[in-house]
Amino acid sequence: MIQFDGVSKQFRKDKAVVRALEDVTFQVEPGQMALVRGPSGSGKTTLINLAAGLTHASRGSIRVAGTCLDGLSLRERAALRAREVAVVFQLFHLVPYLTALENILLPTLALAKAGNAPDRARELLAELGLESRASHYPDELSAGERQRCALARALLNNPAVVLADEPTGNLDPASADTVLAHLDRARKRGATVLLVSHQPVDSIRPDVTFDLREGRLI
Amino acid sequence: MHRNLTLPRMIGREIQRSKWSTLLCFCIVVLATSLLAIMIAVGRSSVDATRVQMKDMGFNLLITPPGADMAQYQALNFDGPDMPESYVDQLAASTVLAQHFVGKYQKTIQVEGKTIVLTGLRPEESQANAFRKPMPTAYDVPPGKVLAGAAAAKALDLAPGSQVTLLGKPFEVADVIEPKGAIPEDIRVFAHLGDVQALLGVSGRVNAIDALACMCPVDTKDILNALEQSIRAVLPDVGVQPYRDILLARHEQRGMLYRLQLATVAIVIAGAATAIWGLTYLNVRNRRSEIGVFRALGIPGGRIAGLFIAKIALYSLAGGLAGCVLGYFLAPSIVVTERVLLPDIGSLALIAVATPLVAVLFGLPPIVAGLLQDPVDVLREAAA
Repeated sequence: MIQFDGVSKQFRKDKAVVRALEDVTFQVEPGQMALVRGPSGSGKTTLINLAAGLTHASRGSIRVAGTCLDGLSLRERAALRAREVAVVFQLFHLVPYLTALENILLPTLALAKAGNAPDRARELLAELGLESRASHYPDELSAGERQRCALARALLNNPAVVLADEPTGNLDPASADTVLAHLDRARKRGATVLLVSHQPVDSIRPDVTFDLREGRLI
Repeated sequence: MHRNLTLPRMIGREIQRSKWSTLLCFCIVVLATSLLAIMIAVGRSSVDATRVQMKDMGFNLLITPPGADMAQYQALNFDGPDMPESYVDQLAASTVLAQHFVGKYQKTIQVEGKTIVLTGLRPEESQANAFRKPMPTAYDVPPGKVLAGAAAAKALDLAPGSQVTLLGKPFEVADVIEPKGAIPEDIRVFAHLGDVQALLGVSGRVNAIDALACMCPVDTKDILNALEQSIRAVLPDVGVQPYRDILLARHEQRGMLYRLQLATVAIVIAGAATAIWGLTYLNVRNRRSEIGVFRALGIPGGRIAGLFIAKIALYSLAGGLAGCVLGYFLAPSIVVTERVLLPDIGSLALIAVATPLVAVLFGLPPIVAGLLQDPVDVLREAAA
């Protein structure tokens, strides 16, 4: 579950106060996918960062996967992300010196025990059509393959919450559809999916859709 | 079963990826540690050469019997009091700030109408706890033989192999000493202490102990006072007569060598540390988005720091070991003294152990700074 209750976020940039989000309230239940639409600069990425606990809300309260983020320390928020929350970035952010398989296994570094992570990573590679690319480095993959690899990395630990920040922004339509299909699968497995996009998303049907303009949900 | 991703594996991959910058770091460490090893060899060899040169300059400390009149002593009238020969052993067994104790019995006598200073020498004693073995005394004389000072030899017409009668007992002249240009050195005739004690009827006695004050810590301010205090703590009633100029020159020389070594070591460490700091800073800067992703994945800061620290520790340990080996083998071709003392194993081990610690210490600030960056900013910058 993701719950925002009267959340605002301000930050300073070049001595000016930027109001990235204003009094945002919404809730996404487990097994639901929420689509947040909005143009560039509307506060979509800030919304993802807040839900991931990468930054604090200036005002309001946020609950993610049953945990209230207010007042959690950096370490506690990192532990929550490691266990329950996965983030998919528009720019993939794969580690260049690791192979596709190793990139998928990265989240295991956050855990005390990796368990059957290598087998799970292989399964994800197969599911995402990357089996033959396991030992390839990111610069040897296409944009679509990189994003699928980043998606596999996000899904490795079966997170309760998946936050996807413009995951199809740099992909061709076919690759975009593949990525969205896998996000939809995660939803069907019971994960809460928050997808932000400034592009139309036609291949899937989100449970709820929000429009974000200048930091406000409309 | 597939292999998991571990920190060592990641470090290996990253080093593989950034092999040239890692090699540069490794080379800097090798250069710094080999320079340190060479500096140790240069320092040890220089100290050794100085020690030999200073010893060649002669003793710089005279210990006289209780109640000795220095005015009479300097007038070459050695008929004053004497002291037990065991004082030499007492000094040698102590931790006074001097070394190379030579007990002697000297007396001005007439031989064939000429004045000479008959000097009985006891083989040198070094402190029991000293790190060096006793050096042979310049004038070691076997029983039954004498060494003649240049002026005495000329006055008595002595040459190697000739005979001379001292207080009624004949001795063979083992050698004639090169002129020193100093009194009483040139009018001395050196014999074994036992022979002189027997001739003078002073068995088990000496009337002077020569020593080399060379153990003072280099930062001792009032070396003369410190020396006297240390000897009086063992033998409270003896006279302590330092040869001030020689002693101070030696002390200053040791201090200068010590400061030079210290400055060189500091410059080498500072240079290497700055280079490691800079290269780590660049490495962290180049990997900012990677750190941001690690943070976003919930990887703890300590584990992220471990990736960087382990890399530094790895190349600095390897570089430190290689530098020690390189320095060890290069030292003989760089040391300029006649006798080359190689770096000792203890110092090399210290360099090998301390190098990764120093490297990590100086690499840590940029790593911590990298971890303290807001991951949101980092990811935003990477996206820009």
